[in-house]
Amino acid sequence: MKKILAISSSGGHWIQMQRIASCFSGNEVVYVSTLEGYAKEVHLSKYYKVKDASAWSKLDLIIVGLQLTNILLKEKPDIVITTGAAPGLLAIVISRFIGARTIWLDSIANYEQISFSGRLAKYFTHLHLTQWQHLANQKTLFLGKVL
Amino acid sequence: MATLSKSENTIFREGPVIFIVTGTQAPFDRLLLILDKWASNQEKYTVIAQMANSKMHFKNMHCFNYLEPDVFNEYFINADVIIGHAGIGTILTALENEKKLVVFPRRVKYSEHRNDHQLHTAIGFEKLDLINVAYNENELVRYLDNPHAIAEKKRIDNKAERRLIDALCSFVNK
Repeated sequence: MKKILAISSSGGHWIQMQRIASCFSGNEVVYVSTLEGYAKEVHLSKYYKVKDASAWSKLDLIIVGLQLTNILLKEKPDIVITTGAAPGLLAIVISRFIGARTIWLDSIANYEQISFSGRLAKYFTHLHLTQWQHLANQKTLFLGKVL
Repeated sequence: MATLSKSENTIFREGPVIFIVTGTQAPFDRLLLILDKWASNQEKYTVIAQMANSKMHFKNMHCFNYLEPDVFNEYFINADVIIGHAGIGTILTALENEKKLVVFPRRVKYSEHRNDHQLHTAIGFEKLDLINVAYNENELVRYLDNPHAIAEKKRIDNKAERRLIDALCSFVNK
């Protein structure tokens, strides 16, 4: 059994994570997101709330970075998967120091280009996925949509 | 405007409902103003807006800054028409629940988002024939005046497509 840390921002990012959650079955999942209310929706799993941060607020990013470092050191997941956005990117970067294997699934919102966080995540993550065929290339794979 | 608790939820007894969804991150006054103006000229629909901390005052709609996820879902599922920004949460929740949805993308030129990805999301989902899009006020008002023109899209189930799940499974269990 593997331990998976599934991290996403709120709203669409969270819903997309729920739509791929069946790929975690048989493993232990720890969820991380930015709204208190989500704990109820995944009450069979452990849930952490972190501060919502965008890539445009440096102070918030530092706070979230510290929160995530704590969570990752405590949980020591084998796999870290994110559907974005900024907190997910930070989790992937920090995870490189604890040896987890990582997946970036870029949001289906990003039809014209990979998100800003996603373009940075490409340099850190093991598996880098888009949900639109026309955005795929050698490093960024298209393996299907959350639909 | 307080957060709504379930015990206060009596609005649905007043007839058909339009629910306006603008996400949690930033206000979307351009959309809310169009709806408030439209609502002032009609009596059939009750208009409820989740307005993401808008500082404006709207006279013709029931407005809430933020709704807890379970209350939000109750409103969403019980509404007759959803008018939303082109956020993925809004679009997927509408498709999962087979709701009539018109999206009105946030635009960077009006400082409604940091980039124009909502416009591109709308174009992408429109190509898949999964949403109705209003790109400007005229198109939105046309939908509001004639809700029968809002196409009902095919319901999607609550899971990603099989090949994506399989690919993720094999990476996870490698």
